[in-house]
Amino acid sequence: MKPAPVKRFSVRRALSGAGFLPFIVRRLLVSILLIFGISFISFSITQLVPGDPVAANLGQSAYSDPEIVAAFKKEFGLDQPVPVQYIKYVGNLLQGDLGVSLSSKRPVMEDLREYFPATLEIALIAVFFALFVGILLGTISAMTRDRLPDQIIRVFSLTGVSMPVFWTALTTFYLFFFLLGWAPGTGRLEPGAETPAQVTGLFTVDALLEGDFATFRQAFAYLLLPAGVLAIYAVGVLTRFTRASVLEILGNDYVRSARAKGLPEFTVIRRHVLRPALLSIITVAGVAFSSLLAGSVLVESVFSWPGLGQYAYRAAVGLDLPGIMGVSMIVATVYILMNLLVDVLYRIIDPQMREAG
Amino acid sequence: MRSSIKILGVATLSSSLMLSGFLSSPANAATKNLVVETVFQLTSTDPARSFEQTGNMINHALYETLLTYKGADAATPVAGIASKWTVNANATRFTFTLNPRATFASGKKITSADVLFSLNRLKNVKGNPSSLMAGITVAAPNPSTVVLTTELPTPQVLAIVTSPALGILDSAALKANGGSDADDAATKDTALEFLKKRSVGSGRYTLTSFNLTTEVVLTKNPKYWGGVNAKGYDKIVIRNVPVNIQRLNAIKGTSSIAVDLSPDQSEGMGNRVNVIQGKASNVFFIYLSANKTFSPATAFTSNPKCIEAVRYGINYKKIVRYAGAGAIQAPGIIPSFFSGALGAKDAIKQDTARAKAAYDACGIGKVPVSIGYWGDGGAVNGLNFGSLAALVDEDLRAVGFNVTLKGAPIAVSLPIYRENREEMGLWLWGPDWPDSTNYTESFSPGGKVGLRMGWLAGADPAIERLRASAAVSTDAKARAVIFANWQREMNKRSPLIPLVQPAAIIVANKSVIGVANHPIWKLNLSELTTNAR
Repeated sequence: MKPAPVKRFSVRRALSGAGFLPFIVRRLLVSILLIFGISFISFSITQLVPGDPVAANLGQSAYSDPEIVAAFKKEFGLDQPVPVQYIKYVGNLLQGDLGVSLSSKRPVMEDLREYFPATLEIALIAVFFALFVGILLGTISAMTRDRLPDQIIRVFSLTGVSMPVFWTALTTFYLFFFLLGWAPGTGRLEPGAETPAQVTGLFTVDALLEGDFATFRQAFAYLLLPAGVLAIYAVGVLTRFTRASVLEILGNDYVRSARAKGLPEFTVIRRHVLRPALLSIITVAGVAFSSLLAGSVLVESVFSWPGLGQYAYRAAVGLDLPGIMGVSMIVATVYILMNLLVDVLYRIIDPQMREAG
Repeated sequence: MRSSIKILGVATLSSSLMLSGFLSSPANAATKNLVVETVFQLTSTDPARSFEQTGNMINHALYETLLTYKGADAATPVAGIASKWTVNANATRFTFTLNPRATFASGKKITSADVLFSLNRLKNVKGNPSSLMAGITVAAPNPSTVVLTTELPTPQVLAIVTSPALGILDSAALKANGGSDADDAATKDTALEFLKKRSVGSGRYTLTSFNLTTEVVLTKNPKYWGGVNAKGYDKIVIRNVPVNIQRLNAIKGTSSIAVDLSPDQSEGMGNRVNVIQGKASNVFFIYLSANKTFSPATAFTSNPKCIEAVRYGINYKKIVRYAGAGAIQAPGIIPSFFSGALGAKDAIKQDTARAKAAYDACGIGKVPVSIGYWGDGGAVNGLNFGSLAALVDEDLRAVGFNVTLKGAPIAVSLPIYRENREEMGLWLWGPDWPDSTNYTESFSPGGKVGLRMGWLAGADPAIERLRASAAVSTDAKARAVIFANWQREMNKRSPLIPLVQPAAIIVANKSVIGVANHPIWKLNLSELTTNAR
């Protein structure tokens, strides 16, 4: 039995296949249709919520004044019939306008530009951390199957998957901030600290762009704990998936053959085990990243992290319909783009898919 | 593989140690900075549009008003921008003389034109607090005089002008940045965003930065016309922090003041902090709908006997115990620090036998009756509506009522309450302005809350007569008597049953001096000083 032929990896070859460009165009067109479909569903759902955005956004006295109520409805277009509101929304969406938030009273796009990078910053750190640690632990776990390291890693991964994130957030904050004093407090920077000028909205990156290393250090220190908490679930999931995939591949004849040929164990793992296992890991990582963005509400709340989760919560509680729609659209877009990215990576990694077009 | 695992272990341990050094918070050397932590109730720093507690706290430091209060007092207005004021005999004309020294942070002198602009803008922008200006007309007969007139006697104007919503802005600066006080200001005024970036007031502080979900930073106004307080803070950071984290930060000393702790949470805070206990301005109450036709249940809830059964069936002591140290049973709807507030002897006492007899006489039997409330888990002054509703439910079931609890998120439950679509409701009321007329006007038949309870004008002529007397009375002693009598009558016959006035806790680092709990702006940031060197 010969080991499976392993072609030298080439991104250029992977992307230059005849079917790649039509594939991307087709997927992008479908994505646009999907976004409009999601906008319709989200808009319909927000209309079904049995609440009154006027009551939620006006105080007791103001709500009793018909003139104030009328002015509020007119300002936010709530005096129009629902179908008209949706048509206007879609018309504005085509121009990149997500409407005006009922609670912040400014364009939702501006709000998202402020809040989304904060979540993106911890989600990126979390997902890279989770990928590194999850793949490493999953591989070690599979390689030491049923021995002590495997048992310990399985307990950790199961704990990571099972623990409610708000509990993890509170306990880690208590431990690392309050008891040990290792972590700084809540927020993105020290109270009252000047924020770096917004280029990307990622404080660490913007601080580096300004050459302000003190702010970079501070921003990095502040994001580690929330990012770590956010990563715990993803680490658990990725560890379990990696372990299962590696175990499945380890049982293949070509792995045994590779070992029999005397290839170093590291090479066997890297070239003959991890590479095929990457397919399922990439899928899980893509979904995990999107879930981190969508599911950061509780972590952001505990750490006073001014991200998309806090914005979404505030919008939901205040029945800020444009705000809710804006968050839905951005999360949907991220999901769609992540799926697209995963498919592209599939084509790069898996020659069979590439050849199948 | 084993050696790899060992290497990994060593690497993890050493990186943890390095990280601990990297992450550890730097020493808080800046003693002239004040960090106040609260759960934000904030929409903006535009006085004409902000009517929430955090907004009031911030705007009170940025914008001065004609009159104000000192410390925790909410009964005796003192000079603000106006140094003198007079009221005519029937309380329809209020003349304010501006302090000639009063200037904005920009150095520009404050004139009556600024006051006229600010108050008309508040009225015409039709924001949340615009209703404070209902029925009030403003005139500026000369640069140093402002006259407020009302058609009906309105003695509470002196209290209303202390509201941070009536803060005075530099009219020229605001007009140059989209501000308008015209009749169509609701659509034409575009100064909201500008006012989130900088302030144009005369307060002891100016706005440095504003973020709706994280923090608002204020910096000392170096040109304050009343004299700069050397012991005042140079910078004040108001941060949005969950309550449990506020507690940890206060104990650890990384914040100076925690605003939202409950009595239970404020225990065992260590010797680094002072716990300032006051009374909250909110009063929690329950009501029975007087709208006879709304549902099968309201055919009974409008029956005085049913109201009596609920009034005497509730275990008020248990509710006060749940509310924690410092809370009191609300003897009436007017909180303890306002004119005419009732004492403990006037409070309703549980009488189960009387409640059961009234329940039998009411005839509701096992007809299900629901209690609506804000049920998304939020707490106000440490009191969770769901837990409070559960306590009431337990008592009413003991009397015989077939109660269903109908908690819903605020966006859902609030409109139902405001539109009188509840059979019973559990809510709270915080003052719009610090005067008892806010209560007599709102809770009497046909008033704002009266209508929510289905209690229409004409439903109780005696109570309405007392309301009318309170509205026109200008003598402080006479007013206090009227307010007290109004509440006693309400306790006898209204569908309203006051439950509890919770404690309001402020936990402050011992280095902070001058902390007092105010019913409108919670903390007077301008009054705070430090004894830290």
